[in-house]
Amino acid sequence: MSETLQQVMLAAAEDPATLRALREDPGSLSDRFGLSGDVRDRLTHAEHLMPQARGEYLTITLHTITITAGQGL
Amino acid sequence: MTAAAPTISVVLPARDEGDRVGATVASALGAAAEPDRLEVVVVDDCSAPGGRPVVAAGADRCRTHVIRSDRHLGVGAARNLAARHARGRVLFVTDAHARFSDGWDAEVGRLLAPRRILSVTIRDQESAWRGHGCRLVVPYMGTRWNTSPPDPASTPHVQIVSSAGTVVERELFERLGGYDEGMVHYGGFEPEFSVRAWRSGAEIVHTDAIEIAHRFKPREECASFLGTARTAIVHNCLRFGTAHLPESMILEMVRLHALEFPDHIREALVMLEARGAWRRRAELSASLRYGFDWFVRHFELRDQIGRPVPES
Repeated sequence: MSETLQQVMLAAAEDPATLRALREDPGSLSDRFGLSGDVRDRLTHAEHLMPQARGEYLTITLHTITITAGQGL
Repeated sequence: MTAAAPTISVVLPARDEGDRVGATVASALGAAAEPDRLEVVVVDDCSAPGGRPVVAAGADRCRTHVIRSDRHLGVGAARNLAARHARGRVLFVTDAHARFSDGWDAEVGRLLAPRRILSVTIRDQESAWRGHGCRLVVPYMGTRWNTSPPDPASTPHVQIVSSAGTVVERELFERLGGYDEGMVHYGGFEPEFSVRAWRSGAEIVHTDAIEIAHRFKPREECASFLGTARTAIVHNCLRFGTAHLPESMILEMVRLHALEFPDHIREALVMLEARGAWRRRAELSASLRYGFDWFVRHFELRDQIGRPVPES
């Protein structure tokens, strides 16, 4: 499986159409690379993980990528 | 006559921090119970001429070694370089803009143990806010602060130790391989180091007996900084996740970042391949004592919307 995942990521790095499919059409990307099961399910539903409040993940602190209640770096 | 080796080396990277470094050094020495047993190792990470570290003459400068890098290393490689120059048995990793609580070195001596990393309390210099280590956000690969101390009824384990207050025996730091120099510039170094430490069989124990007062950047300064660091941060998150996450979460993580940071994802993916992220995963899998599953079970970790984390 690791090899397939690496192939997907490499293709997304090299080919704008693959990168676009990763963002906008993960189902077709999964078909193309033969992804199934939990990998496919989690990939296709990743937008559910997006922050609910705009900029939530942009509030970062210290030398970690840290989500806080308004603290700065 | 040769001076005795110090017990504790305070190590810190500094980039354009100027005289804030001197204030940090003065605080570390001034608040210590036994300053004669300390040294401070500063890595000047390619500061501009006006921002190079400034340390007061006298005792502060005598106990401080400044190592200049003419190439921008980033915080992970800079800390590793400082650690390689340190002579103390114990490393106290912190930032260039920190203040130490009284008697901090005595508490280090009391609390540190083999295979144990100490997470100290981080306090905002401008408010009453305190952070007590952090917890991991998966699959984003970020962290959230713990804003209350661990339950005193149990061992005060925390998932992630903050960069401003990481205390570790130098031998353990070296055995772990220090911070991951496959990461670049800024972001993700400490959580990756922490997860790797846990997976190696070390523990991270939080203490409120040592406090570091930290200067947090104002919001506008953060925005400017992040504008320059974003691609590095995305790359580092992806490298962190590729190294440790179950396979079924890796593409989910990549797509999450692609949706959130469309202007940075391609370059981050190019860097990921060029810097051997998959090779790193294989090396860690072969060398670490525990899998990521162990970390998940130990902390009852859920993903960032509360779902179970799948088995590796």
